[in-house]
Amino acid sequence: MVMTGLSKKTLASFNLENESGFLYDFFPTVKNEDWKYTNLKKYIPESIIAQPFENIIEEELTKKLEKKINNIIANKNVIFFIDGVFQKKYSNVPDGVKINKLFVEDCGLKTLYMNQAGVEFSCTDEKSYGGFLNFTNNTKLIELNSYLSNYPYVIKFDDSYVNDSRIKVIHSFTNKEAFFNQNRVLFLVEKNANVLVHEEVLNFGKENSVFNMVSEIICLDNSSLEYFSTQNDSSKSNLINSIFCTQQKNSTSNFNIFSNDGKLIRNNIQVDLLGENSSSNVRGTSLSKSSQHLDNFITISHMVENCKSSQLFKSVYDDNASGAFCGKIFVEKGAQQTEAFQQNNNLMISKNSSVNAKPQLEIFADDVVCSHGCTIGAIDDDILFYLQSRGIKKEEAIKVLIAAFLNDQISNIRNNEIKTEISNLFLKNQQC
Amino acid sequence: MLKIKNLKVRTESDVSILNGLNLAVGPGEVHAIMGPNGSGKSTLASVIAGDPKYIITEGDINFLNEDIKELEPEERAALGLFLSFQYPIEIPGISLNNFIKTSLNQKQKALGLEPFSAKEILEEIKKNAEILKIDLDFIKRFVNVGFSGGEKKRAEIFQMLMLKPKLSILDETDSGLDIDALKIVANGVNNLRNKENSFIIITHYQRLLDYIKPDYVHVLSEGKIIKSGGPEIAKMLEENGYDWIK
Repeated sequence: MVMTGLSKKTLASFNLENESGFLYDFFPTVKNEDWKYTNLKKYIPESIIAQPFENIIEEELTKKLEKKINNIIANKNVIFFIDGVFQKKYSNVPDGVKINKLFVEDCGLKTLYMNQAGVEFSCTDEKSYGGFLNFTNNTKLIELNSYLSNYPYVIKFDDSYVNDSRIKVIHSFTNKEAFFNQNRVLFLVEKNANVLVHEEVLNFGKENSVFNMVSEIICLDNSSLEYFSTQNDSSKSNLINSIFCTQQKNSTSNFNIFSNDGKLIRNNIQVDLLGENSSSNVRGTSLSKSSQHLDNFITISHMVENCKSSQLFKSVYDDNASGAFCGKIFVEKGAQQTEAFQQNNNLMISKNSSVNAKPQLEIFADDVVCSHGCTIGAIDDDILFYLQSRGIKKEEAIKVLIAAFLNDQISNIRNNEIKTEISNLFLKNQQC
Repeated sequence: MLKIKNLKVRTESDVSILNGLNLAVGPGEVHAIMGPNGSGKSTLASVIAGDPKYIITEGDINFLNEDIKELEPEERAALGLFLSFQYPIEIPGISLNNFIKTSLNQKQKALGLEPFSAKEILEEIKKNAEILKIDLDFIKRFVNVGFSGGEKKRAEIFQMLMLKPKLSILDETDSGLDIDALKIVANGVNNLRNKENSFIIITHYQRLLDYIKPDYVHVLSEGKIIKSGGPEIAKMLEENGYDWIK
């Protein structure tokens, strides 16, 4: 939906208590099939404040954070944002990467900035790319994000950019109060580019904030994108992370989502394979505990012939944690020779943990190979006894078995630096 | 070392398996337990190791003068008990190497000792791998995943040699082994055998006992030991079957 006529400046700050009607209009309810297992209102604090970000970050503010920031960015390729504003000073942008604003004030706000063909970002094209309408029409949070976020930045990787080392994209937020943060980034991976991006939210402020993150990604012909997201903020914060990706001919994308901490984590990942011989692999790995809630909502659409995709999600639920996995494979009429796989494995550690799994296949072509599988299980008593009989304490044995369960997701990471980081985060001292 | 008195055990579904079993194993002794299928041999092994699936309704199990009936399996392991499983469990995702390291250092921790260094463990691994003719690449594989029957049993004995238990219970370790593997496994056991270390060997066949000479042989039937004696009993059973006793 195009929100022409709405100026950011006319928006005052508002919160749920005082102007609940306004913000609640944007929240999906459990009556919405896409949000059946996640009642957003249950998680978002009533005192939450939502307002557009300023376009300037005061120096005083960054000075206070400088030490922390310098520790984080040390000697790395980093694209650093504070409250939605790009910080050149703290960034180390390699050659072949360009960061520009998309000036939406010239043309108005859009729900998504992908142009109609899904090959570039524009706010002047009358129509946006329509492939994600099913989702964006039902989930107004994307519209809210356009409404409240800063000017979106386009991060462009040139065709000459072929680099296996990581670029970290850090979205930091200052949150003086419990704040409803918005963030919008547009990634354009040019033809033949080879990119490794690692996105992370960094919370410098109040723990019980909400992060409504939206990334739009375009992968042009023959490009390759390796994408990581580590979700490890405090157990009081709420993350809604939406990724919309279009892919052209012969392009490859690998999404790796690692969720480790957060009161609520909702991942919306939508990939449309628009060009022949393109492929996408989406992996999710999570460890949920206490009363955390994790909802992975994935759709991969095969729009043309000869494309491949896979979804592999492994989740561990302990204590009172709950979760959902909704994974859809859509195969358009005529998208023959499609290969699409989906697997979702859930390991339940505690009796009070729960998960809802909903694999969905919508296939309108007749020459395809598609499969889906789902397991939900507890730790087997015989396995536990085997480990205990070897002198391993029950609690430690459970840790060993969790590490074993998640092992292939982590050993699959090709970049050693990221592998070590994630291994430390997920397995602590546990070796596999 | 191990004293079992009037042990009565049933399953969760209330089936009695052991019906007043008595057994005493001294330091350095090797006891073989034979008996027909379903007589309770594996249950006895699991109960000594602490499998929570079984419920002890009566009797005592003493190990090194300590009542171990209420102890967790890992506490029994720390005291020096080891069970070589009849059906070793597959654990995808964890290598045999790291599994052994975890076991060793958990045991050290339980005993209030410093963890072993990686170098110490590696040297021990190399030594024992040679005894059991195990390739070091084998140790990098996931625990028991895709192992042949013989490899699984060899991996069990390998763990036994690494953990150096005082009492090892071998539950049909010989089943599924060819002659060469049998000799190798027996060699591993004999390597650990000394004046202090004891063994309970559960088997159906005399063959293993040709390589690991037992001090005592017991015949288990319907949850009780019905005959005990020297190695000659095993030979009689091999020749005449269990009807000979009845």
